[in-house]
Amino acid sequence: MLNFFFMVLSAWAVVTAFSWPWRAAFFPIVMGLALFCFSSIDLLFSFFVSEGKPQGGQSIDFKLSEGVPPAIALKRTVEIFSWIIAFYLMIQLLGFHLAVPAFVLLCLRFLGRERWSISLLLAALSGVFFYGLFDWLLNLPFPQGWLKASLL
Amino acid sequence: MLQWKALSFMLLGIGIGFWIGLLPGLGGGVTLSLMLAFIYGMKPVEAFAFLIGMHSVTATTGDITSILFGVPGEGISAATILDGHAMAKKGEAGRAIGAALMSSLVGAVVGAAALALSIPILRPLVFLFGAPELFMFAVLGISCIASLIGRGYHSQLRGLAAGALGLLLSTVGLDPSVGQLRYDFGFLFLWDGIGLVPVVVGVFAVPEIVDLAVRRTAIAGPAATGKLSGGVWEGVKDTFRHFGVTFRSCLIGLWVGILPGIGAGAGQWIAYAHAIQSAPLEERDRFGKGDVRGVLAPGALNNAKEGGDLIPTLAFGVPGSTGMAILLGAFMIQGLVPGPDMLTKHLDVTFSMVWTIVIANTITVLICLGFMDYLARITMVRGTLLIPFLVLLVFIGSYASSNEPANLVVTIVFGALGYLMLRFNWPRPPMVLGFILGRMAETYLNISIARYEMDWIFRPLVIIQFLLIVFVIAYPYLQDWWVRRSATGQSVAAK
Repeated sequence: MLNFFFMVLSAWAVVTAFSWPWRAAFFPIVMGLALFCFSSIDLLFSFFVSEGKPQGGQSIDFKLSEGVPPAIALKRTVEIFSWIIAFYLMIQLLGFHLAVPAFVLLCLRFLGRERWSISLLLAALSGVFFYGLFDWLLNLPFPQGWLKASLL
Repeated sequence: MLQWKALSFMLLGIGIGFWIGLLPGLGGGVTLSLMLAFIYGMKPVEAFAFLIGMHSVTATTGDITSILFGVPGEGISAATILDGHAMAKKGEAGRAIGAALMSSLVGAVVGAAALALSIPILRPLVFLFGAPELFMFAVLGISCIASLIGRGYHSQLRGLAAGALGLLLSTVGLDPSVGQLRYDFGFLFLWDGIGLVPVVVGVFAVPEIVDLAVRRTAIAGPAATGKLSGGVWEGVKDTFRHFGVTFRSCLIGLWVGILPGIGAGAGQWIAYAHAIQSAPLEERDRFGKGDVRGVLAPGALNNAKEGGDLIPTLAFGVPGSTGMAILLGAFMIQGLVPGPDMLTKHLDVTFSMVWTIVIANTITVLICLGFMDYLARITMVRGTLLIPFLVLLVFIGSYASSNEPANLVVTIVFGALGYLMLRFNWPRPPMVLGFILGRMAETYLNISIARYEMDWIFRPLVIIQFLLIVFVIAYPYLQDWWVRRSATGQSVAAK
């Protein structure tokens, strides 16, 4: 699946680059062609090399856990990605200052099924930590969020 | 350097650097830029004790979050995740931290010694490398990691494809040679290219968080209870058990620091690839599953590089990294001009820097060794309690690297890509290395073509580097062939 995605991506990248001046286009075209070739050769090997022959597909990298049934793993994967996207939307809507404690509270209570007391305590601590360190001490500029911006 | 005022400023710098190093996104460069304003009233020795003390320890403490949570403190701590976090999952977080700290100290001492000794020796050597050789270094680095990170042609092809993908992704934004906008989709924030920290944090940290959410256990897992105590000292001993890997990674770090533009982000992967390559064939499968050599190599490199970085900065005024470029600003504030004066008139300042690197790292390691076993117990906390804080760290790190909200979207997209790459067994390190080296590689390639046309291919050092690349790609097959041949020879002899 990824082979096919990378082939489409590289083909699009190469075709797009052809409309640029050659000095700007040269490197993306070479890299796009390299990506296309490596991905397609890998795909062809997957199709045509016999099943019994070892293909050596092991990479030295972190391995995802395999002890959880696939259906539950898929459900939990979708769930955590939804929480991550929800946090991003909360930041856009409320700004970091409100979104941080709100996300910690909701995530602990509903994803982690922690007790309300622990969730509230940790949410308050995260809010204080965030404000104290990043805003007050380091003075990083955080966007205020659409909601606050529309009210002001 | 040992006067109370300079020592106090160094301790203050160590304190700040220690905690900022733990925060994802706020790396050594950001820390230096935040603190530059505070050195106006200081003498040169005090100012550099403060800044270099702070800068030296950020690289060390950045490894701690990589090991404990799989969230890199900054781009230069990403390689530590592969084996460091895998060790934490096995209940060996203390050992991994001990190894990272001790190898960092060894790296710092080697880097400082090299800084003190090598300036007159290295000067002519550095000038041998022009744009073509530096471009070939980038290609060699990607080939090394692509070739050694996987076993067999499938993994090698995917490693090379991932490297090409990283190089392609690095072309997003304003082209440096003619000002052409590339793959910007009309977004202003993409004009500067895709940020390194959002990519690294997304590719490495998000899949770890997803996996933790799927497992619903502590990071260390249920089987690891009670294994943490005493682990830190085991890690310290590991540094000396595998001293060859540690020392050679220090030398790679020095070289990476001296050469402008490569940086520790790329160097850590070269050291990691070296650790794999130098391991016996039957032990290579352990990498990625919690082999301590995978922690020692990047740890030693990151700190040895600091000494190496200072060599061209002090001697020629050529900064090898962002941090050193900011440090050049400190030279200007203090009225010092990098160059021959630093080796004659201001030799005391130069040597104060050498001692600062050694003392700052020694103090950090001693403090850390005292209580890291307790910090490692965080890996025993249940995952559901940690997940919101890890997501928070990821998002703050991604945002704080350039104060750009769009970086959060980049992190989510690359988090999904990193997860899919793991799911379908594609190696992530070559992609990240290609991404880190891409801008530099393109710039050096453009300079090479503009300066030498296609004649740059026939430069002697380029030919040697090309042969090295061929050898690196063929190396796993040659080694397999050699092992098979030896085994056949032994069985024939036995008959």
